[in-house]
Amino acid sequence: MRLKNFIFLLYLLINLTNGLFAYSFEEKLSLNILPNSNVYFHFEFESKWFKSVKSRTENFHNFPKIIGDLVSKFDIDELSLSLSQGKWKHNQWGMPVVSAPSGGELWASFKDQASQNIIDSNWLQSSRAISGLFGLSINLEENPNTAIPTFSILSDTRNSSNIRYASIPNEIVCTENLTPWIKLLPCAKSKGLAQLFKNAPKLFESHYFMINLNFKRICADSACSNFHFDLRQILSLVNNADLVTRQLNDQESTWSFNNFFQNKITGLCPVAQQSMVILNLERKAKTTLIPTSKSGESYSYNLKEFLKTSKEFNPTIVQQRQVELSRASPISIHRFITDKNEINFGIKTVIKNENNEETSVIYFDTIPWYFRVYVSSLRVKDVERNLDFKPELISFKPGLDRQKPHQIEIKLNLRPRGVYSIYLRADFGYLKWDEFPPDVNHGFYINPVLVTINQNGQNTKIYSEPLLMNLPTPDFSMPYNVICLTCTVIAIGFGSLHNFTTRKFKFIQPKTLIEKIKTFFKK
Amino acid sequence: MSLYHSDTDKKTKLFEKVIKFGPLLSILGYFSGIVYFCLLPHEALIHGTYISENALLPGLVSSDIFSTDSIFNYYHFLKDAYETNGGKSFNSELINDIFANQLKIESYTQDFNLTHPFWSSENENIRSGKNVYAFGRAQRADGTESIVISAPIYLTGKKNKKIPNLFGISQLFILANLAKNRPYWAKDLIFVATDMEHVGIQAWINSYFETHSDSIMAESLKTRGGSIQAALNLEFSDINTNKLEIKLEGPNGKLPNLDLFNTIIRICKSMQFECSLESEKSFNNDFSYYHNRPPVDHVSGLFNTVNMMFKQATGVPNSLNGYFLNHRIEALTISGTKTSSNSGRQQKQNVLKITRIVESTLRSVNNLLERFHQSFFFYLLPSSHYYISIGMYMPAFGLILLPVLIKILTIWFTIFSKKNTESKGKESSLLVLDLLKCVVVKLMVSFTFGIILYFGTPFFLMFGKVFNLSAKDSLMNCYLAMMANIFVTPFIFKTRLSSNGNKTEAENINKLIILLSLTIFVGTISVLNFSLAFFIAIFYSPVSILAIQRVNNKILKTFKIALMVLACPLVYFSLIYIKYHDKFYDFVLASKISDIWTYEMVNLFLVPIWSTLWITAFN
Repeated sequence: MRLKNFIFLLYLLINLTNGLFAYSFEEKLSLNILPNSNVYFHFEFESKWFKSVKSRTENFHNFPKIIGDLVSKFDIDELSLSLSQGKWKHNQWGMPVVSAPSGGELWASFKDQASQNIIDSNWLQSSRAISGLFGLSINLEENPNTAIPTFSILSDTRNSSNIRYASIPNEIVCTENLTPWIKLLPCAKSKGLAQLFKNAPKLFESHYFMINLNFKRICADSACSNFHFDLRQILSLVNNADLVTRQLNDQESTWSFNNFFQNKITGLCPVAQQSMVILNLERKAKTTLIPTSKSGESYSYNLKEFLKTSKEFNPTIVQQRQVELSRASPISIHRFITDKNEINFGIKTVIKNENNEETSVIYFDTIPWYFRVYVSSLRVKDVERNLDFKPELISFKPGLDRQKPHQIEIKLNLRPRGVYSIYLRADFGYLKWDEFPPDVNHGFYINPVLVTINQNGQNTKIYSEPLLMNLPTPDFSMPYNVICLTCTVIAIGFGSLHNFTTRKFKFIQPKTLIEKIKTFFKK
Repeated sequence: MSLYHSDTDKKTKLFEKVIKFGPLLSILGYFSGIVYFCLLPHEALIHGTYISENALLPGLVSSDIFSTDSIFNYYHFLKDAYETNGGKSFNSELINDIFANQLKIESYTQDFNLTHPFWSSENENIRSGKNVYAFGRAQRADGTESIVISAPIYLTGKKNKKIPNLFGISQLFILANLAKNRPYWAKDLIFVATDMEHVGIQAWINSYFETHSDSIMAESLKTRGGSIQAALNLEFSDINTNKLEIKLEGPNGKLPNLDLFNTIIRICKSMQFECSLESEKSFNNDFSYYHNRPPVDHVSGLFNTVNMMFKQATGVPNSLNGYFLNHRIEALTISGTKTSSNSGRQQKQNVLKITRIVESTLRSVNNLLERFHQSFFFYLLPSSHYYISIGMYMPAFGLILLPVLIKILTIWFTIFSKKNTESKGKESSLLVLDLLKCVVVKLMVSFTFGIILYFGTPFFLMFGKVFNLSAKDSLMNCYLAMMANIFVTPFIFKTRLSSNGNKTEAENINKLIILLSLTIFVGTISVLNFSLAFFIAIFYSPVSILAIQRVNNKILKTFKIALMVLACPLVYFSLIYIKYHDKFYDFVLASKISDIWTYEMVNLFLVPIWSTLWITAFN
């Protein structure tokens, strides 16, 4: 008996320690102050799961099982999903910690397979699964938008032929997408930094809102027998302190976390190994809260220690309101429609190098198949010198109707302060009548361009704005009326006729008063 | 064979009928067309306007403008600036400064210059201006859609007087403040203050879409706001305004979507403020008609319709809003007028109401999920509450053109029924020769006139420069010269033909070609600019038939020639030129600067058609 007990205890202990070492969770919030009283919150939650060779069963512990299953089933090495609302103003706010295009973006890197077809089918299935998981409307079968980058850098380590990329600019983020995202956190929104997400509609009142999910399978050896899953969840938002606090005419603006989230951090997530808040208080901002550690103008708070002494964490920040200089971004992009007529239109992207040094960038553009792009119309121009410019590399993969989008990749070396324009001309394609979306006259989106900047060996991503373009559209109201009218006529005409012809008619004796009373009481 | 026979029988029967009833049918058609058109604004035929797009929800939002204080602050600030330095301080720089430093929104200026389209060597022919454009970015949107609110910095009043658009510009600031602070905007608001009125707005739109123009050179824009869904243009010559007039007419007869117009009218009603069409007759300002429309007044309705058609027929935009319509952006101009003097308190009320109307309209457009596509694009407005749709007015045009069509049929039958009976052979070669002599020469000569007028205007002006004539005078001289040429041609070109049956045959073919080219011309124009086609048809339908008819009576002949002279487009040009000296010159200029083809179409097609008619009339 004793031995049995001992063995059981040992088993329990092994499992427990396994659990302890097999999973780790860290959370971090960094706050930056942007010009014109804007505040940038950047939340980062990192879950890690170490797969041990010994354990036969796949016990994900606190790591979200849905993600674990998904990546195991479809052999995904890396996965990134980002959803955003609003526009990141590069010319004022500088660069975000993590860039995202407006709308949605999904890309994944798969394990090497025997054929690319397996990867393709894995991609489609996994995109469907993710779509279901987060309540999205990604439909890559009906709206083929998948690109396989040739030399664009999405991931630092992976083989580009195993990468599938889809940009979904018409995706709208809402609380229903946020809820499943929050549920992936070990403490959901009940403890820890995620307590601030309790009032979800408040988050969407911001000028810019982005959620991102980034999964990586990190191998310890080349054969990848030892690996760990790394899931990083990022939520960024920018909001205006003046609009939140509704104080407009002071010299200073005073605000706290409570103003932005209508919630405070009161408890710690017990699973979290680290819970950090870093306030980067440049631009003459102060806080009264004593930090755990301080370096320059960034105040760090370790919540584990902080919440031992105080009940809640709700720093109040006092900020001087002044005319501030904008932050710089390394390059700026502007994309727009030019010279539109009934048959075709031009898409122009202006890329400006804001640096004083030469910068190498990769331009990655996917255009839906229903805009028929001419390769011959591609013009890369040095705007200031008004000369044609020869880029280092150009890759053009023409689209196929109802199968894949046009894909343009250009590698450019931008001279200091140089302005370049990339111009393409496209025809309007024709859709079949059942291929039109319900809101045809809203227009069709042209995906934002992804520009990867390589600066000192570091890759930074920057996205352009999406464009809206109307396709030749039939007048849907007329057929709709006709359908309604004919349906009504058929329903009335056929219905009554059918009724008459299929029923048997009998004569019924009219009831006398006594019979009526009898039947009434029978009921 | 029998089949063939019966076919010709049918043909001859039809031919006989056409010959017999043709003239009666022509006269009946023409006059019934005019009568039908005049009856269109009648109670029995007219339809009331309604809002087709559900998303607009006009007048449903509660306004965020609570007081007139800030409006008057901006207004007095601008007014002071205008009055202190002889009007020089009220300029683009000042407006840009307010946008950028007071309101703290993205604001830029755009330099442009207009090169005179006719000769470019002189310095005086290059005028430059500066636009301001600012962006009130929608907080939660990604900047794919936008609404433009434009206001010219200066308006042109009576006697070419420059009037500052102080109230219009102040409204831009108020709206910019709203755009910045309110979370409900789904579309970016772009504020454009334009210099040099229509040249400025044209320069800005050209740069926005990067369309090339020969005469306007403009700086490229720093940034944009995605696809523009609608545009409002504000023109207020005075803050003391108690009525809004809405201008619709765009270039080449284009009109904005009727939904946008209806929205404003509906909002005005809910605010109990007078809004009407431009110079609307018998405007009903009884506000009890919120749910049911005011009754129709037939005569004034007809007057309003014809007034609108006149404006449309010129093809020149009525106001700055027109230039947006070229890019399929629904746009209209809200301009303020004063009908009676107001007390100070009433004035404040009116100012608040006007600003709220503009705000409310913007927020209705902001509600749109899809771009304007529901309501009418082709319509005529007899009053601000009633419309005549394309399905109603098109038959009138068809009836008016009926005489020409019947004439074409008769000529066609006379040519081909004769051919059947007569033997062919040697005569056909003679016919070809006659045709060459009679038809081709006439057409060639006439179309040369058109081409000279179309391409030659700059050369004429250059020629006038040699004789120290002003551009306007040399334009007039150009018309006189052309007219003299055309009037004289029939006497030079007395085509002598071999005197037998072929002569009439060649003449018939000549007539057929003239009438066909007239119908094709008018028919094509009717699809693009209905009003222009309608007015041309009203004149040319009887004139063309008269010109072709052989008249022996001397009195009738002089009458015919007098009528023909009156129908000459160049005579019109000269008459209009004498009456409206500057306006006409601007019209010619506009056709060179903007894409307005009325002047060029008339020169290139109508003048040759008239000239061939003139030549045949003397044959």
